[in-house]
Amino acid sequence: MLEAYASALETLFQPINLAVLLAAVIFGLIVGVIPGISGLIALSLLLPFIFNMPLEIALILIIALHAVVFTGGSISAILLNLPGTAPNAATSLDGYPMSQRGEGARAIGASVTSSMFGGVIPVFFALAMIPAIMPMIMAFGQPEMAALVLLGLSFLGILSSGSFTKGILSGMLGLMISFIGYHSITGVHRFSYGTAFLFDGIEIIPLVLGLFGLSELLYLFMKGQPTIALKTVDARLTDVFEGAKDVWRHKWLWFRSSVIGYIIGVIPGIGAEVATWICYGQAKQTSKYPEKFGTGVVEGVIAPEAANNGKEAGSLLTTMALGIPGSTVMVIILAALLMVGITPGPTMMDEHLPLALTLLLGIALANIVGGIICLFAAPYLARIASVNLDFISTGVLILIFAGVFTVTLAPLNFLVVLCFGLLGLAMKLYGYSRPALILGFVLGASFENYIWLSVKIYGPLFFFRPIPMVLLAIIFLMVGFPYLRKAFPRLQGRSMRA
Amino acid sequence: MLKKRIKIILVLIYVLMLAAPGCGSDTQQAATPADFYRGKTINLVVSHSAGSYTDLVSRVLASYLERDTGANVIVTNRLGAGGLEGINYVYRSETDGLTLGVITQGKLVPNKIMSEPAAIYDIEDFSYIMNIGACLYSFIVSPNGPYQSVADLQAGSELIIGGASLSGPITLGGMTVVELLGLDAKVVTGLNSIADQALAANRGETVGWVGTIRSALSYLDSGMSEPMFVLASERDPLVPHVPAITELIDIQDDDMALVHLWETGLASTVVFLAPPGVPEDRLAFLRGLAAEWAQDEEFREEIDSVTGFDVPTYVTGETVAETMSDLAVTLDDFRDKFAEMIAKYRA
Amino acid sequence: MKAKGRLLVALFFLILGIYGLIQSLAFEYWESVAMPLIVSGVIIVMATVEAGKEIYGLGKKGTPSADLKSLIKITGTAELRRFALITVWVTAFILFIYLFGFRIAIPVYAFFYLKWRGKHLLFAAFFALAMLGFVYGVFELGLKASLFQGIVFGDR
Repeated sequence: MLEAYASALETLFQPINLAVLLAAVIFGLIVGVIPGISGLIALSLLLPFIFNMPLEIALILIIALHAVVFTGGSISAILLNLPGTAPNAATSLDGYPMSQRGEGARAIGASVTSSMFGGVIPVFFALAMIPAIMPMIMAFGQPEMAALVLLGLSFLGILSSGSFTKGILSGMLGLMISFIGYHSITGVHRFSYGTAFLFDGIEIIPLVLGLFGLSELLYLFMKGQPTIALKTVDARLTDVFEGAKDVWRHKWLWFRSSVIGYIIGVIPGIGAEVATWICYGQAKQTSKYPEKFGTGVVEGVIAPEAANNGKEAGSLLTTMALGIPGSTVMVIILAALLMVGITPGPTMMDEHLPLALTLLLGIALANIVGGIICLFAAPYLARIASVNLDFISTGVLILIFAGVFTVTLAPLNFLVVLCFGLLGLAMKLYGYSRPALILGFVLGASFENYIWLSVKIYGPLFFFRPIPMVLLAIIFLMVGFPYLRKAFPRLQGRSMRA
Repeated sequence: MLKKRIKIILVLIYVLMLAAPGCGSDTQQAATPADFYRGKTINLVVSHSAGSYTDLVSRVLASYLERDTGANVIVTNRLGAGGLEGINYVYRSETDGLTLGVITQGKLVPNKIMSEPAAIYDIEDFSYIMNIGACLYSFIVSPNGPYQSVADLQAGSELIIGGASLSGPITLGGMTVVELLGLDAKVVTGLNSIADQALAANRGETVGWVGTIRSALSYLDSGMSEPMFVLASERDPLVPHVPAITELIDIQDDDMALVHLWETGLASTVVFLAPPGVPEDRLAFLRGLAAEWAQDEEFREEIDSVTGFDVPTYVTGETVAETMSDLAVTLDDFRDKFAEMIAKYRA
Repeated sequence: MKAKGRLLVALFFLILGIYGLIQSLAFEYWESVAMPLIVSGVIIVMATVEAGKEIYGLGKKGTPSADLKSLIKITGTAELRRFALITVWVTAFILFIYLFGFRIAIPVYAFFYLKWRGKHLLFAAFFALAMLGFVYGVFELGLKASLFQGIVFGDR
């Protein structure tokens, strides 16, 4: 085992591999910052080159690029309320208000540090988890997945700030939107009128960019604010490192979120968005001042970013150890391995352990390199919040629509962005929860799918199984926690530094 | 006032300059198809995601197209609506031969059989260039499960077979197996990925599913799954040890048409095609190139290497066009048959 | 004004819920009906509660939004006018992209918007060209993405 680690490190630190890693990290950060553009888009245009490269270089390129896309995405989420990727939407909830208060550098520091270590630490216990992965995945059948998704949905109440009814309404709207399109269980076209555009329903990128990005631009213009920040931003490196220290101050939150993200990544069938929103929700739930979430608290940045990168490490492990890709980028990695005759699975971990370790350590190293670059760039990036809003809004608007078209190739999605922009503005003004809508949207379709599969395979009493019962108990605890805390003051968390 | 007018004129001139490259058309007719393509941009539309089998094949095709036509080939993945968006896009494209498509037959034909309203095309209208690598469907099970033979299946009761979307080939294939073998079984829909199918079979939630060997390759190699029989009248060259269904049971004449459908029209094949109405000479040129590539050892090796296994068959565009024309006439019959099976076997 | 806005939003949800309910009942299989029906029902109930709160004044005044609640004060017609203006700009931008494509819409929108906002002519022109260059460089050259050319000049 130690020899395998040594071999993996030796491979990773070869000059050519390091150069490829660095180039991929820079490219991945840039891609991540651009709204809507995910790692998959960037990888798809590199494909012709990737498959002609030596295997190790190709895999390092793929893994390093993908590892830092979410880190890049968090920067635009924090500075502009424009999530670079859909999972970064949770980061913008508190990151953007911090930026508006002139604490953008600190928010970036916290976000980058959290994702850096969120992608590093799980790698080291990944190998220890290999014997447990297959039994864990086999234990999560349709009822268990339904219960897990229900756990995610239970955060609807937690994510709503203010009115409970409005939070549930927002979540239900998200669920309704998720039902649009072809229903694979029955072959029925729901709310789509048989059109190809709505066959797959509303796509998440235009929805998120409209709901958060465009709505914010509309709001700022309505308010007549000259800049994003409410005061001149004079960000320094010390502010960035203050954010990094915040991660240490909230190390248990960071660790918990990283582990949750990792476990969700290991289980195929649950998207990255779920991990970030669940971790945001549990951060709020366990905070001493949950009502301050959404106004710019650093925990609201630390939790989702730790989950983002933890998830990717878990997803890679499942891909390599079992040959089950957890995301579309993992499909590319799987294809690359199959092309050279390496079959992902238990045999890969036996026969090609150094290669597997190279990839896992590659994620860790890419996160560290990306993190360092972002930490030093943060003070300069944070000053965007002081730039005249007319220029920012013009640029951001253009990037939103260019990004949406590049990803979806359907001009009708411009209208989707506009509609959700107007909806997002109304929700912001009148106290409805946009995070709850997103959570309902990302979980709705899969929840329905798992419920019907469970009913058809196990019968209507499918919830009476060990894991679903445990998860239901957790749901009751989570929902009841605020009331328990009022009854038992000793359950209050550590004091929150906002 | 004058300043303002000058500004407006300058802006208009600028706008027109930007628009100019998009305007205009070839005023001179190209002498030959080869002359036509030289220097142009070909948009190669792929109906699957980047990194998929179809996408990887399309990138090999793109490189050979660039080499042999002198055109710049841009690969665009349009995978919305289960690949339907890409197919529709190609169908609606200009007939100049500059938009070509790489799609899977497994998406093209079932949509029309099941009268998918969003499928605006007719299968017999496309200009087919070549089919690459027909992949037959097999019934795949878990090697650890209690059902390892047709006899086991026929002896079982209230079996559950895995399906994906209701009108997709995996579900329809599952129903075909139930029908042909006379099983006491239902097909459950919603297991939308091969990973879901393989895991469900290993957990014992389903007895197996109908899929291509190609899509299940990593699960077969890792020992998570194994094929029981091939849904065809002949064995699959990829798994020569696995019997065809016709070797295991007697198939009635009526049902042989169904088996024949699975090994022709519904076989999972990469289809290289152009929109309807492409000029005959350009189509003949592209078909000629494709035929040359199919004979080219280097091309075949590249296709084999990106797919991870030996691709046995290349079918000419003329043959594919004929197959699709014959199939188009019988779509209604198959539609009724599948509708009947859905009513009987859907869980 | 804010109460009116809250009521309108509640009514919007109510209408959506009723639409969802009616549509759901028309779906073919009960599995496709069940979830949308339940969710629509919940929406109708919750929206009715919210609308009732606004109509009968039972709700909390000045409901906070999640973001910067201390700064939200929508008063009078000034914000409404600004909202209408920016919505028109964004809609016009979308229309321009659809008709003429990104290459024309980007510089035209950027230039005229910044001019309208009182920026100097040269500044506006420079920024417009810079945005075009940036988008072209990143998307078309960098990501090899073919940006929409508009229905007038060729795309569909």
